[in-house]
Amino acid sequence: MATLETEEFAEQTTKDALFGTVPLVRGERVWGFLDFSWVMTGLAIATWAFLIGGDVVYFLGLKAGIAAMVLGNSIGLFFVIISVLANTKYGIEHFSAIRAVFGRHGVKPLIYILNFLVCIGWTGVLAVMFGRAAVNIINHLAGTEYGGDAFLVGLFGFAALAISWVVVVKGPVALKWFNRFAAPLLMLVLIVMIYYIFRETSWAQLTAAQPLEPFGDKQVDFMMVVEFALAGAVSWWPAQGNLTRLARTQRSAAWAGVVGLFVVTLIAQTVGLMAALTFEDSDPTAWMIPLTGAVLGIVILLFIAFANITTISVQAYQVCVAMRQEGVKFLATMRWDVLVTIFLGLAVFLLIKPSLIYDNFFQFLYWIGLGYAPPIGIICVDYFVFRRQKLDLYALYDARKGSPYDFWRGWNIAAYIAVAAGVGTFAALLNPVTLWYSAAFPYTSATFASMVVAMIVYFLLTQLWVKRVGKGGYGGA
Amino acid sequence: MTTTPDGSGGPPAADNGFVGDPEVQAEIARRLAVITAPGYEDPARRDFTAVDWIAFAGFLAACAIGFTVWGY
Repeated sequence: MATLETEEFAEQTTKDALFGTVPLVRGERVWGFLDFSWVMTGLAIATWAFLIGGDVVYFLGLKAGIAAMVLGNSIGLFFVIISVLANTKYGIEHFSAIRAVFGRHGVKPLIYILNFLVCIGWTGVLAVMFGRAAVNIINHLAGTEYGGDAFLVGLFGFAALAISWVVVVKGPVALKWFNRFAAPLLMLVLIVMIYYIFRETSWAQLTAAQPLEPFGDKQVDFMMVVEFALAGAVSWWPAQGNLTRLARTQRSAAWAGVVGLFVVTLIAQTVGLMAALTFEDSDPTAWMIPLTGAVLGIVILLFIAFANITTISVQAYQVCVAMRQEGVKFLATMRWDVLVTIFLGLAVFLLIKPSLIYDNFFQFLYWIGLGYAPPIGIICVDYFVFRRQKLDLYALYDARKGSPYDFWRGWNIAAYIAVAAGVGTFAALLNPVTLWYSAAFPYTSATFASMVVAMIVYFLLTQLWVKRVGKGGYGGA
Repeated sequence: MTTTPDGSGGPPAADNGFVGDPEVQAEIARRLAVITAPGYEDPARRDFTAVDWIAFAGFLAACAIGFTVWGY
């Protein structure tokens, strides 16, 4: 009976996923500026904002850290927001819209490899955060001194994944309810943190606090933070791309993105940086008890732990639904519980040594920058320069050979060459693993340069090759 | 500037090239017919004006430059 219910639920999710990708008509766009700003705020104020802010403490102090975060977020969000304006304009689902750039089959690696891997990384980070929060509570209550890589951290992280599995497999109805309270409560946590930080510390003390492990060259340290702030901003791309089609106008979609993903994110990241400077620790789960006292600290840690379960579950649900919708038969027909197990099971590997991804969180962000920045840049060139903000809507769904967005058997080779050029540029400027950087990196960043190179290569290839051979529907667009 | 349809590649043919679940195909075809119809109006179709671009890019640029000058 339980299996039958699970399968019925799986069938329903596939149906929902498929119907969730159809174009929206005017009456279905439910978000004006204020509504959408609230949605964006809820998205921005998740626990990872504290992590990003906390990681700045390795490289910079307060003022330079804030400046670098603002600079990185400004650049990243500018391109993310304009790259998804077409989704608002036409009410088109994100990966359907970018078939115009990558081709019908060309979008699949973005869904099945890039987006999938990024989400596994995020899931691992959040599971470790759950584990660290739990272990911090145990350390405080039992007087133990389990470290960040203790077996218990992995065990609790595994428990977080297991709970998320149950939620996603049995139906994430409860998530809707928790989500309504999660964002306001996290905002309350933010206010409580600001209160306690300024009760214990002055602005002068905060600005005088030194970073933990700087390179020693201010320009390099500054750019390292710009880099992961920029990468953090571009990591919103798939989520923003899908949500923005529910906005009523392009203007409200863009400004709501600025309110939530820029202003609110920066406030949360700045609070994270202040706390990290105060306690000389980048881990948000290490701040709460010393900052607010035992009782309130434990309450906040418990809330953070469950907020992370919600985020993991929502993410797992969305990724697994996306895996079923884009025309890979064995995934579309795979048992729902098996698909969820594969996704969450892969995140378990990140629990073997929790510090590897959690304490090097900013390096994970660098990988996101490497993967997302070139496609975002390419989409901007294609939509604004070549298509003049006009898409052939029928062609987005037309799988016939020779259809406008068919390119070469459903793949736009030019787009992939441009992505490769962007990735190569990133690698030539910064190694996300060793943090080796080239002489140009402190002035160009790696994410931004890779985006610009991908844009230029895409422009040249499309102008000189794709258009001339009559591919891509540029003549009729 | 216009809010009327500008994305139509033409009406759906009998074989429109859509693939996948027939119900979903039909729904996509129905919706595309609505949103590409000549009389369809939607405020979301209104592209950024020059003022929008200046305000949007200008705000982000001003924040980026202002904070960098202040903090660096």
